[in-house]
Amino acid sequence: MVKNYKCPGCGASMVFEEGTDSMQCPYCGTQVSVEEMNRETEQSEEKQKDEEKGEQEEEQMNTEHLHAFHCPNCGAEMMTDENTAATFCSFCGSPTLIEERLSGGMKPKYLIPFQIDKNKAKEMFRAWTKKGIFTPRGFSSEHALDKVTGMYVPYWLYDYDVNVDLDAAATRVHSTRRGDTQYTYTDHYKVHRNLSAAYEKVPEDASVNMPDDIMERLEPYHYDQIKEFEMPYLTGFLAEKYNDDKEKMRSRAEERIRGFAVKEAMNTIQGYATVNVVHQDVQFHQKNQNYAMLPVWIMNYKYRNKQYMLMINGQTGKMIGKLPLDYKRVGIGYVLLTAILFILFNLLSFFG
Amino acid sequence: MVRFGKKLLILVLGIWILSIGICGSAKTDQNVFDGAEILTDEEITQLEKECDTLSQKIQADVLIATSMENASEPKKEAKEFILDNERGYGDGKESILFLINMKERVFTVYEYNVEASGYLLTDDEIDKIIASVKTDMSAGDYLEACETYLDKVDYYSQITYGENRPEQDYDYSANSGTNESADGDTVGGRLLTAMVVSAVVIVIMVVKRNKDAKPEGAAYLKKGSQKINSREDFFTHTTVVKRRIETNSSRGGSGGGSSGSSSGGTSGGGHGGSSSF
Repeated sequence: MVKNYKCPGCGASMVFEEGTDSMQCPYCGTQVSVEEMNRETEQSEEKQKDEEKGEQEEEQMNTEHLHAFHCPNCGAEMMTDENTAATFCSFCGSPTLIEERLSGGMKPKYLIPFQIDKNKAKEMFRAWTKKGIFTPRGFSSEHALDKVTGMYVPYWLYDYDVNVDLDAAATRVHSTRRGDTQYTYTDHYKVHRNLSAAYEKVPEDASVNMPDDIMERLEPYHYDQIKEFEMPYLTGFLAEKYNDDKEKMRSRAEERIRGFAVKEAMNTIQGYATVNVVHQDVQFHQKNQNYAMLPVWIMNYKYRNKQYMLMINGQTGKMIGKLPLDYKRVGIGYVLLTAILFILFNLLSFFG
Repeated sequence: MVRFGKKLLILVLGIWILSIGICGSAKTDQNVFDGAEILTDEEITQLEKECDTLSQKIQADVLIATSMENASEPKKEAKEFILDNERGYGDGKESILFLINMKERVFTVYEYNVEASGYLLTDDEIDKIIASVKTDMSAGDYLEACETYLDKVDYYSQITYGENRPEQDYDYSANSGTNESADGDTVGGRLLTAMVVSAVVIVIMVVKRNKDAKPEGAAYLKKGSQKINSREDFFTHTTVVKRRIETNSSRGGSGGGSSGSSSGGTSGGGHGGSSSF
């Protein structure tokens, strides 16, 4: 069943207001808290439920096979892929949620609401286009921003207790001089550490469409703003349901946590000239695995007929993207640096 | 932007050329040093020209110097003159000096070579040059004495190597007045180093410009949860490496040279002969 939050004032579709905990009507300006909106919508839906039951079952069938829906606002047929959980009607632009993909086992436990609105994201993008000494100067004025998409990306948040058992061979070196002879003493040590730690809410993106490396670099998200999932948060944004392989994701999370834990254990081995790990054993105990939606702005833009993408962490504003390269500026930078170094070397040689 | 780039390039190239000019002219191209003022300006000019020609021909610094210094050891004075004027230094360069000390009334023919081997002149040939020059020196005809010295150096160096003088890995033309850098290879080396270092820096800057760090584990570590259950550091054994420290030997005196490793410096050797007049 597709879900649309109607304004209690004028009946238009309400959207979530970034940076607040409420929904706003873009037409009459009515503001309603997420909690209240959710309650009201649920009550009114209860009344319609029986009437629509038959129709709903039919649509559910379509969800699984055809992925076609009717916009609850204008009635137009909407086509989505099998993973879309929140979208817009391409005819009336009304924000629409596909409830079946956000309920039951598909219902996220947590969500971090967008703290950066669309205008702020565009502003950040414009500032970003002027960043970097090798970025073409015309880039900020010539680029064409094709699409700005606010998207809730599905994540699994893992809680793990880990135990690291680590053996290393370490050395300390000191030397003395007697007469014309230098004595270098290397003291050899056998080092052992056993360390336990708990990692909480380690995120792994659960969408096969999102590049893992970029999503990892968009982190961290601040969990002090995390909320229990409520559907109204999604209105006005795109959202996907999780679709990545669960086992693959768990092993990816464990691999990541292994790196964290071993590094922590290594940090406790101090005061040596060299440390070589000879054995390491990491035991994992998974405590929790929660489904969450985390906010990302995706900016698609074109520059000189080439497509680029910038992603912005919708909570912290951290930006990950590829800036185009101005080869002329790279060349000038190279010549300038070479000249400076050459002059420096010559002056050192001359005065040295 | 393009206009700015052009201006920048012109500025950089200007500084670059200036730098080469400064460094290229760091070494003197003088071959005749008349400290005792016994030669006229015309004579000095003439001798400079002849020294220059001969230097290029035999691929060695051919020098003439006069002095009014107190010098009880003529060969030592000759060697110090070469070293102080940075002649005969580096890459196996070779210098032949005719030094007239007017205060001590002694003259010296001295050959210096970094490698202390492969001399152009033998001790016997140096003695013959001294003998040939002595008449003119005693007669006070210093220009003629210098001319004889140059003729004999030319003659004996040809006997030693004929047309098969081995090519040196340096360019003598700078010291002989063509104003090219004597350490041309070194300047080239510096340029190459600058180019390589710049390339590495620029590549790192280009690669890193789009790379942001991934979060550390501390971002997800539960506060106060980290606990070290066991911590053991066992000393097992010690290994000792002995290394003999080589000390600097003295700078090569007359007749030989040596090198030291602790300073990384290299000193050369020389040989020569002296006579009073």
